[in-house]
Amino acid sequence: MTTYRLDRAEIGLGVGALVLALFLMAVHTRANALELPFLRPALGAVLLAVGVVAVAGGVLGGTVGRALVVVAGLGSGVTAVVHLVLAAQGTANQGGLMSLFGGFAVGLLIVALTPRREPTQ
Amino acid sequence: MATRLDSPSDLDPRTGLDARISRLCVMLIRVAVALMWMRGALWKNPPEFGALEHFTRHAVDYPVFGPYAWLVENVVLPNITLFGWFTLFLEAGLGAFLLVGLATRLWALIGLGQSVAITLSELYVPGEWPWALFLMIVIHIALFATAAGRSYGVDGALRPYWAQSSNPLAKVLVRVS
Repeated sequence: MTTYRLDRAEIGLGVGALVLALFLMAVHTRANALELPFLRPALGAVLLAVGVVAVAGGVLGGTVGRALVVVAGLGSGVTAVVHLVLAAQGTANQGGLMSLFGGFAVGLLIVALTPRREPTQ
Repeated sequence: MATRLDSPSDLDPRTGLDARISRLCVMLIRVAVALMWMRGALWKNPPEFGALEHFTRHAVDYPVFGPYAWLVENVVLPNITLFGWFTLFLEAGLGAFLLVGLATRLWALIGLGQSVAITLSELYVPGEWPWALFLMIVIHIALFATAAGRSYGVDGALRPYWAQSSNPLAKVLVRVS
């Protein structure tokens, strides 16, 4: 269990992004009792893309796979920064989306950039 | 009569069926709490942070703890923009890091502190359900106690690597995960 462990983590994060993207696009109704951040189709597509690329990177493994995961992480990070800038400019309700994309950015990047070596435990 | 659940592999505390179910439940709780904080960050809107100021003022209007009410009235409210940005980043950070399960024990403590601060503002507000506030506090204690990021989170995947690294940041991450 060497890089396989990290590849699985990348796949797990990617699947998480896919599941959340679909869930947060679906929960928005006139009476959103869950009061969750709603993903409009454009943002939902971004998170779906992050998920697909991350899963692909985890499945491929190796240098190419890790590069794909880095791309997914950076894409999510850029989206988070966009929401931060929008918030600073006075656009309302950006904090939750900044958090969502920021989380996947941090998670994907830290896993992809962790040096691959055999842990002994 | 032996059943499928009685087989030794299912009873293994690390890999058995019970253990996997437990870890899945812990992960779901962690993600749900993350979504809660994302929802909280959603309405912290710069630059005026009007809604945040309204709810923060409850600590003064319905004081729970005198020194905290004084702090809010004399330090926080006059500097609401600064504290608003701090709160926005704090709650966004809680959502982000609990979502992926990174440095989870640290963020569980931060969430515990923020939950206590919210309780000190809202506990005596008419119509407030105090158990909602108490549950926010205990859920973060549970996230800390279970080291929830080790259950299908980034902490769980990376701790073996951090433990073997001589990098000071890795040693810190072992502690906070």
